[in-house]
Amino acid sequence: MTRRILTTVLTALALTAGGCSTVKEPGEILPEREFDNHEVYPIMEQLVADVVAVLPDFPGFAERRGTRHSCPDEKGNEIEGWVSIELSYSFDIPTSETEQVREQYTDLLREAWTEAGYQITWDEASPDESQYNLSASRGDGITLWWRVWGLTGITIQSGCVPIGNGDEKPAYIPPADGVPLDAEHDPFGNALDPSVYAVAESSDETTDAAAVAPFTDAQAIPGQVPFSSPASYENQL
Amino acid sequence: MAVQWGDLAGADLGPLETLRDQWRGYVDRLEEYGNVLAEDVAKHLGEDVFEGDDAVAARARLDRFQTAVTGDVLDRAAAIRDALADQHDALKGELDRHESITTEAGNAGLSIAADGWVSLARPEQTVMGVEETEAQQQLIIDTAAAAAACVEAFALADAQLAAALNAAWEVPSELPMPIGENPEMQDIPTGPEHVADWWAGLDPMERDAYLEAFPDLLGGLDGMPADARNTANEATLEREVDALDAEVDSLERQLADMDARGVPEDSAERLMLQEELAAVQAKHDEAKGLQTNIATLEEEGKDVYLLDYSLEGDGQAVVSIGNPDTADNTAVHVPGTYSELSNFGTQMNRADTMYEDALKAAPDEETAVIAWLGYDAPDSVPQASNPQQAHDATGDLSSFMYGLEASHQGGDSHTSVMGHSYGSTVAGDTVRTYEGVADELITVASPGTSANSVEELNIDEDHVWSTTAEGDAIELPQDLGLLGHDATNDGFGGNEFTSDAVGADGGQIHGGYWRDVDENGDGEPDRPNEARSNIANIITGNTDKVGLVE
Repeated sequence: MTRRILTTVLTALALTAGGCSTVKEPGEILPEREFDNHEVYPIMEQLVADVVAVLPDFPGFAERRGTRHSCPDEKGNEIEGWVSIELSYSFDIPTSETEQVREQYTDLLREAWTEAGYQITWDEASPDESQYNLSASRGDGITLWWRVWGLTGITIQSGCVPIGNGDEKPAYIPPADGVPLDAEHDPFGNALDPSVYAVAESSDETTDAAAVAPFTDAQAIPGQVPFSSPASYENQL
Repeated sequence: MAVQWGDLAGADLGPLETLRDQWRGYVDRLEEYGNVLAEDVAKHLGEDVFEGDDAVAARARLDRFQTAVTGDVLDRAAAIRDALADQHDALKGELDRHESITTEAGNAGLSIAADGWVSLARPEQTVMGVEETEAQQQLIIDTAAAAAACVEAFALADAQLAAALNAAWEVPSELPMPIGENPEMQDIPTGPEHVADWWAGLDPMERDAYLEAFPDLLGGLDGMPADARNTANEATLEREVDALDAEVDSLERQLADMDARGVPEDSAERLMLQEELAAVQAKHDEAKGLQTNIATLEEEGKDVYLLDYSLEGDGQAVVSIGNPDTADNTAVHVPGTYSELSNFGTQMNRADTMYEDALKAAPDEETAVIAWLGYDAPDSVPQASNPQQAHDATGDLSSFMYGLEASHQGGDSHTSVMGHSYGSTVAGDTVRTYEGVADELITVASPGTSANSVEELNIDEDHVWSTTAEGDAIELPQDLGLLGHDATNDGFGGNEFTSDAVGADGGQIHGGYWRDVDENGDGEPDRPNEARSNIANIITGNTDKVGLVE
């Protein structure tokens, strides 16, 4: 009986650990993607710009943050050559508490994302109804997440994508509407490649190809670009 | 006691002159000593004649010693010498004036009493026994004024000298540790509270001296503040990486030499060297990987603290995102089976995800999230079915948690200890064995908490949180209870919060709590995992916002 229990445990734990007899190739663990990290990041910024475009009387975001995480296999080992990017824009605390951003904007985004053909994948309040999560899937592995938490804002998730050009840093793109161009409000700006500079275009005017990689015409600019950029990007996004 | 005219008469500046001359001698010798250090000693410790770790340490020590001698000590000695010389001259000038006034007064037939009172020396002989003339009266007034000014100037010079000497010693925090009084290891206490008190009692120079002398010990000492631990550990890690770099270079040169000598590919000598190189290279990569992972987070604007690490065996590391000493909320994440330094980046990323979520859940509060691989996690499935490694870790984890409390500044921090997989057995066993470890216990995909019910844990039922996603392979060992009962077990007690199953099989789901959900089953993520918002709300104390399993 003891041996049987132990065998069962070992089998279960082997499953837990992903098995020990076979090693899965990255392709077996991670889905194929149509873009690498350099291509997906501009799309993510474009999606933020699109969010801003559908929200009336937009008060401006206060902060851009982001993460770049490796993609682990079932044992927690990093799968080499893959990364997942999460990009978050938030309002400041007073703005985050307004009915405009917590309720009206949530309704408008639900409507806009549905019209855009996205699938609404999470549409739920917290048990005390003080927080709200609205997420949508574009069907290409990119997720949009409107968080109505202590801070309200948009999070765009790339999912795991291959690292292109052997470099993890995508080209620098100025933060979306309202975020001051300094390290305090735009800490993620430092994680971008300052030697390449791109500005978002209106997605309405882009071709299909540009919709996949709208910043491929990025200009190379020498030196430290992020905080020597124009003082305002109004009307450029 | 105020200085009076009579005091000046007997004043002897001889001892002051002796003291002045002695300090002149001290300063001269310190300058000579500084020159010897700068020229002779430094020459013998130069990079061209002395290489290796000992050389680097010796040069660092010399540099610090030179700074102490030619900077702090010499500056202070020179200030004392100058104060003694300047005020001696001032006092001497007033004594000369005292003598001159006395002589002139005598010549004019005046007498000056010890208290400064001026009068005619022989009144019966002046003005034919009657009152002083107007000229004599004016002379008395002038002499009294001159005497008073002299006494006042003397007293001022005396006071200025006292002030100058006191100023040289009354700022102890700016003084270097006295030469000859080196930091001693036996002075470092044990126990987080004692450590925190001891460190708080040291001045900045003493802290620097201890960090320089014992970085290996202080970097991992619970109760030390996070910034000091980080300083010590970053320095030690940098030194170890440099040493491993040099070792790799040396082994590669030896292999190249074998090539040149035509040593056969399958010779035992070559195979052994290749094996050694692979082991050293792997250790180097682990250490370098830890540095890189920290740098990546710092690049994104986060404050990252390396609170402990070890390159021994599988390697260990403890990294905090956010400062736990000032945080309102601190969460400690304990990873499970297969965790080691080579894949610690995954645990740091999970901590980073929780940190970012907590910032958005409680933006007006400061949060720190710590990835704690301070134990030897199971390397294999058979090891993971044994509770011993978890139990062995409870002492270290409890000490670390007590250390966070001891070094925390200001009021109490809201603390959570969280374990994933076998890490939840570590966290659960620690809360079962020790009191006051944390405010919240969170178990994620737990094979067992080491306890049979929440009543065995030293924490209130309302503050025990657990989740297991549907289909997680851990459900099977949970049912057997070899590691105690899982907190999601019926009748265990506590709160079960919701999480999404992410992955195609039980193994993938087990590691999927921080990954996005594949809603459509097409292999691509479609929405965030509910576990993220729930964990963020637990660690920030917003527990009424946590989604519970009905």
